[in-house]
Amino acid sequence: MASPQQIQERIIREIEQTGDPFNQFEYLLTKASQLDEMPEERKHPDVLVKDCQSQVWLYLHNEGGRPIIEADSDTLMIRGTIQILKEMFDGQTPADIIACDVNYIQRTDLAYAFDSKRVAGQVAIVKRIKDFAQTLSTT
Amino acid sequence: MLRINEIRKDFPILDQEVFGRRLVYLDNAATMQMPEPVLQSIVRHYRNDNANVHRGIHALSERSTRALEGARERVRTYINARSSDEIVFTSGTTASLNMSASAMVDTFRPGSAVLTTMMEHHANFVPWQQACKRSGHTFLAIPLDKNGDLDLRAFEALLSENDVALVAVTHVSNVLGTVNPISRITELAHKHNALVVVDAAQSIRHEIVDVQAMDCDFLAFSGHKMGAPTGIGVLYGKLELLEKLEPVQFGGEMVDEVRVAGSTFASPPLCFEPGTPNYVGAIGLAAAMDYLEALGLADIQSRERQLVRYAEDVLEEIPGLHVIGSPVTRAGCVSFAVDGVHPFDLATMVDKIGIALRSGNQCAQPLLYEAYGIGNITRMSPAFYNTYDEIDVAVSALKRVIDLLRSSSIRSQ
Repeated sequence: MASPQQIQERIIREIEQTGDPFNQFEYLLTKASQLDEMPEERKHPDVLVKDCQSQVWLYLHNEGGRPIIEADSDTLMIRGTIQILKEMFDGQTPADIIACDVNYIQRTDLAYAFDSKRVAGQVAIVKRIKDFAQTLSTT
Repeated sequence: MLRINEIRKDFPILDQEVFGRRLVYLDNAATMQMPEPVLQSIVRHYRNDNANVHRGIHALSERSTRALEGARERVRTYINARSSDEIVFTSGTTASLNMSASAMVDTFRPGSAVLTTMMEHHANFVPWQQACKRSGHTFLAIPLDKNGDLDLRAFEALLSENDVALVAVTHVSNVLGTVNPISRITELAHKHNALVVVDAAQSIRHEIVDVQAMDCDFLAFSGHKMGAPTGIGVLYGKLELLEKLEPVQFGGEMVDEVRVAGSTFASPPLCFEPGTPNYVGAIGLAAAMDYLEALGLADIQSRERQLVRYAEDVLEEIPGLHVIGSPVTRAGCVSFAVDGVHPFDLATMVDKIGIALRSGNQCAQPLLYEAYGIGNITRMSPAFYNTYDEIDVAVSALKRVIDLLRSSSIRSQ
């Protein structure tokens, strides 16, 4: 199984190969379409990620000591980023998750769409995942 | 008649590509671009005349001071105030309105109310709301009718049923583009012994702002909405009212005498301008006013209303797109929601094909969340330098992206 960092490098290559910035966002939409939609009844206010401008509902599950992400958003762009995080982190070891520097947005033209508030939202999602991984690693 | 091709030469920023596409800048309600003469006025001042104002007894300081006070006089003529002492320079509309609320709330009659409207920008809503909360005054909002115009009957009823000390109202809504009948509002308010504060942030570029014709008591606007730099704004107040207000910010220049036992303050407007003022911003503001007046304010108003009407017509041809409101007079912007499409996705994607729009709640949550029951919207706001062709390009881009987002949304379900 490729590590989160290796998967991120593959994703960056795929994004860059799409060409112009518009196509890079189409790539994100494709990722969004691969993410399962969360049933409305699971979209509780208490699982909303704070600091996100868009609404992001996030559950983290423990499967054999490794995290599985269940999440959704009201915007397709953010759904795309959630799918990328799922590809990077689902089923990975807590140590690999904690060690991974998530920076594919900053390293591609996607950075143009993520102003400081939206970057803060992405950071908040990643922090929740890493905190969960930390909890798993100590239990 | 405006010669758009010639005018656009004054705005070289518009002549560029973003992401390999020709820029179509339709976010002028957020900020208008600066024309060359304004940029040159700023550079010229820094290059030749720059020094701090008022306190220096030397040539450059004198020149700077003259330029600042000349700008004050320029603003006076632009909005037709009676005296340049009625012009207070601030950092922008938000600062002007906050200063008004802080200074005025202590002068209100006990038990009286402040009326604002459901279409206000947060800058003309929250300062009054919070001032009322601190002082114990009642805070009320005038409702809108189904078209997005102020419900004037409800306004009259609120005036009759409450002891209203002040009405805070926008001249033009930053979401609906509604042009409010300020003269009628001041007439009604004054009959009930209420003052009127007007937020002219949106109207200052494309509507005729004449404070004597409006008979408003206070009026606030920002320079960057009319081609001046950011960080400069104005609070106009009738002199007899300004003279009754206590300063709310303190520092150098605004004082008369300072002793351990107490301080006395300068007369308006200086008592409301503590510290070094943004004199270069004021010089840029005066240059922007010169520029707009040279083009012709009536021509700008006519041109911008035509562009907005055209934008509304072509946007409404997009299936599932809903223009927000249909006020009697719309100016400055058209806001819309699209079935099944999030405004953030829409504005982000069209940006990548060169189109600058704005998405979000536009700092008007009471309007969008409470009056219309919708979350976020997308806003298109042309200025006089935009062309019909640019609006067509933007609408074509919107159609393409809406189709793409809808197909992605369907695939994900």
